[in-house]
Amino acid sequence: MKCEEPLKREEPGEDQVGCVVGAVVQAQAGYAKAVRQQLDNSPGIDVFGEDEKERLVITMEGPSSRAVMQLTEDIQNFEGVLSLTPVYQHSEENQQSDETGGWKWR
Amino acid sequence: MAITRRAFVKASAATAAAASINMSLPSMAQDVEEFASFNNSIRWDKAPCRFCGVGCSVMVGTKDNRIVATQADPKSEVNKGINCIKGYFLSKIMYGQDRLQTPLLRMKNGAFDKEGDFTPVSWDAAFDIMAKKWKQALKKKGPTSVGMFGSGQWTIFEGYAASKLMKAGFRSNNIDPNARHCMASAVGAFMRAFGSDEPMGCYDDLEHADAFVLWGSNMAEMHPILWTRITDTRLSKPDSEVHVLSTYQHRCFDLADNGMVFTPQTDMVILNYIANYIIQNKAYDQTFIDKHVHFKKTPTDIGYGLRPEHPLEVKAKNSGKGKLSGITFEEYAKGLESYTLEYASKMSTVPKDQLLRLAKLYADPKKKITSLWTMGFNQHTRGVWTNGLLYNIHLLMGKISEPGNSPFSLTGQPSACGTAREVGTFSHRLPADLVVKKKEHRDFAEKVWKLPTGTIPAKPGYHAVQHNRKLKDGVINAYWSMCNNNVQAAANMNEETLPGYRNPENFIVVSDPYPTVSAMAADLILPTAMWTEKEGAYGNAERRTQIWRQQVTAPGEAKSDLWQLMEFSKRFKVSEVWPDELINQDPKLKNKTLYEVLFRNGHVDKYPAQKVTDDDNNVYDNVEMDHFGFYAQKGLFEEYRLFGTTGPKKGHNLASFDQLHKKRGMRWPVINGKETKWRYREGHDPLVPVGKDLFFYGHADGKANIIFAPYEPAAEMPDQEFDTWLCTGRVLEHWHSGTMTQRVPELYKAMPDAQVFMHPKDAEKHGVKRGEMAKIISRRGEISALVETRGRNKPPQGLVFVPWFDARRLINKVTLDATDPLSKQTDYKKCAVRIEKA
Repeated sequence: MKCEEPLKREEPGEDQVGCVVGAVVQAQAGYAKAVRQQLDNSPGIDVFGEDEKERLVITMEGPSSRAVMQLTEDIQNFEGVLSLTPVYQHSEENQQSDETGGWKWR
Repeated sequence: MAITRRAFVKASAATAAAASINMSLPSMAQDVEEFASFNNSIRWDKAPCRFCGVGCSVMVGTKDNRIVATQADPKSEVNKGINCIKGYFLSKIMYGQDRLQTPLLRMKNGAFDKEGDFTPVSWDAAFDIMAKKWKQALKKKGPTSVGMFGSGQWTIFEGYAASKLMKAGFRSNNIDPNARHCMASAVGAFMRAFGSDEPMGCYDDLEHADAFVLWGSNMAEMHPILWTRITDTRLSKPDSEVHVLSTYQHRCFDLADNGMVFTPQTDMVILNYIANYIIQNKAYDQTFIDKHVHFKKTPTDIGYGLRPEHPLEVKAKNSGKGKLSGITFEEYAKGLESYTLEYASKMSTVPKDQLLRLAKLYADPKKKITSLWTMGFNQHTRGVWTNGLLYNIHLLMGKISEPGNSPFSLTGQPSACGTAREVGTFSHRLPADLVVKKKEHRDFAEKVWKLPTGTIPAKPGYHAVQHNRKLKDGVINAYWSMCNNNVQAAANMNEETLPGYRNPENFIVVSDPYPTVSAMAADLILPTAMWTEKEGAYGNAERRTQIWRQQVTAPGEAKSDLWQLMEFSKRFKVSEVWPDELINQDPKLKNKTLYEVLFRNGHVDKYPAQKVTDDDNNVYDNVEMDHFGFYAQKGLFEEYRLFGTTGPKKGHNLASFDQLHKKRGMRWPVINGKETKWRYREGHDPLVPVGKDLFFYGHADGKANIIFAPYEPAAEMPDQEFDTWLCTGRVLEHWHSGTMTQRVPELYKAMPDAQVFMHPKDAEKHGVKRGEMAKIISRRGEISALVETRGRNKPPQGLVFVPWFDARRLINKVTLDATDPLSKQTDYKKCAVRIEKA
């Protein structure tokens, strides 16, 4: 499935660290180029390298880990993506800011 | 030009990701000094992941007593520098808004009242009422009236301390772990076939094998890191192949060369067909069989582990029986004769060509095969048999205990092996494969624990499913549940679990970090420290023991399970819980507390309080050491280790506490400081006698058992009134009952509600549409859930799948508490329901 509309996300300022995640994207055979193109067109995502097994090294960043979670979902829905594997996560957001988003009895 | 902190973090993230696939990023050669200075502001240390049984290692970055970063551990041999999505959000499990921070007791008018409201109380008040209830029960009905439900998520020290407190302190074997719901069938089959628990192989098999066969395991979602390793092998090794068998189509089918959806319970038919194919085509390894195998058969028509008065138990000729008897190879072959390709295809509905392809794969002596399974085999009313039927195939071909040839039982919990199984927290077990019914084993445990002969009762206690039945019947009256959520997990909640928890005769204590369904059903809730809020150790599915240090402090008054167990033991004098004839063996024990007898015995308190440091001289807290005044974790572990190094059963040698702190875990048996990758194989396992090549030393003669067992039907199958199979399980985003993962907003958002996955034609038949609510109704209860017909799971017609993580939709109101009569493990994969529009 292709990402149908451009991603609109607020990026943190140069001196701020929101949530940053390093990850590896495994493309299906023959899809590395197409996947890279989709990643390059996505705000909040940087591609750092690619190997012969069609694996791409990326970072995802956003003001919160929730925003980055949205990026991971988007990437998994890109055409030609077999898997996305997070490796490194750094988050300096206020944990409590997520309080309203979690599970509750209802 | 100075580089921003943000750029440093990005550089770290990209470098770590690249390193995980052995890629170097030259553009990342940053200002080394600045880079190091930034990294030094965070303290990094290793810890195994809190979730599944894979046992990934995670680097935990702590700053100001808070975890600010995690990284997949590049030095880990398990996950090799990568994480799954749950591991990525690991640190957030501790920060849910409803974290419990003080003991809560049901009270009315200032006193305990079973119908009262939860009211904050001190630890002293909590232990006062708890000790009073325990003493009342012990005095009135004796040791069998107290019970404890534990966990494969307990640390090794906690499980060990709990087992000691129950089996030696209270002299009750009524302790069982939630691993009973998870791994008991695997244990039973290991013991019957090999005389020793846990796999002979290890994760290295995932790179050595030529073919992988998944039997009832959705590894893509439940063991994603191991699945990534299989994916790498499949994509990089020519002629490698992946076969997937399941009762519905799931994400593993994306990689499958041969994906097969079979009718529930007919895995037994397929397994016997493959064995029959091997024999009919004389593909078996005669030399291997002659040297290493016995043939046996098991009693049949053994019932379904229900209450004795249940019609199915009354009808069964050999209810609960499992004693093996010897047969010849010819008798074994004769038993398999009826399992033809035609019969297997007809029963399972899998096309013949696909079954034949699978049989040929196993029968090919040149193909190295790793077979993997989890709950599909284990949560099965014939789980022990079914595990065994797969071992039969590997043993017929001699494809076992060598790199790549590996029947591999995966686990669901981080320490199902390390704690629940190895420590012996089951109602019939003691550490290191010892059992309570053998006097020699009890004697040995009592010697290690420095206790009088006869302290440990010989009769196995009630198993997990019986716990709920005995609570309902008022036989167990004082009950402590730790580190799990059994009201949400145990099958048939309406008829068996909840009545027991709310029985006015009973006092129920639940130790929990969050207000789970179980906590809400309890009388007293104890707030629990979790994961890196305490020092801990876990053992994963490949026999790897891993230790971690305490990284941060728990919130409020929350305390570790170990602290709770040891502190509670101070409330009992030996004279209050042991009979005179036992005390008379050693009268000086009479006025001692259980704490003094069990935990100040010279072993557990052997190591004085010390500063906990790492190789970089970082200093770590240890709440329990500060409180008790000695290094309790080390003392407990080193005492426990004696069972493996000096006990009557061979092969459970663990590495020392100090050695494990330095390593990314080690696989036992660890002998002369070296781990063992493949058990029973000369050259890999030093316990194999020289010249024996292969020796299954769990049995005295070194031989394994091929055990014939026929197909027998499930306890409940679809009929006119309830026309659909129900299968339950997990999803990627949530782990078990969702206590932790539902508190991570990102994971909650990704999968907020359990859905009912069904075939589009079934939806049409039942008059429901995708996105509408449907009722799932069984003979025991009903729930409603949103219909999903296009999701990740694609059931065949006639079967629905519902995950069990959702506390607002308790599918265990619907499931049946039928168990494997041998392992006592519940079959959560099969019962009959009907679907209606809600």
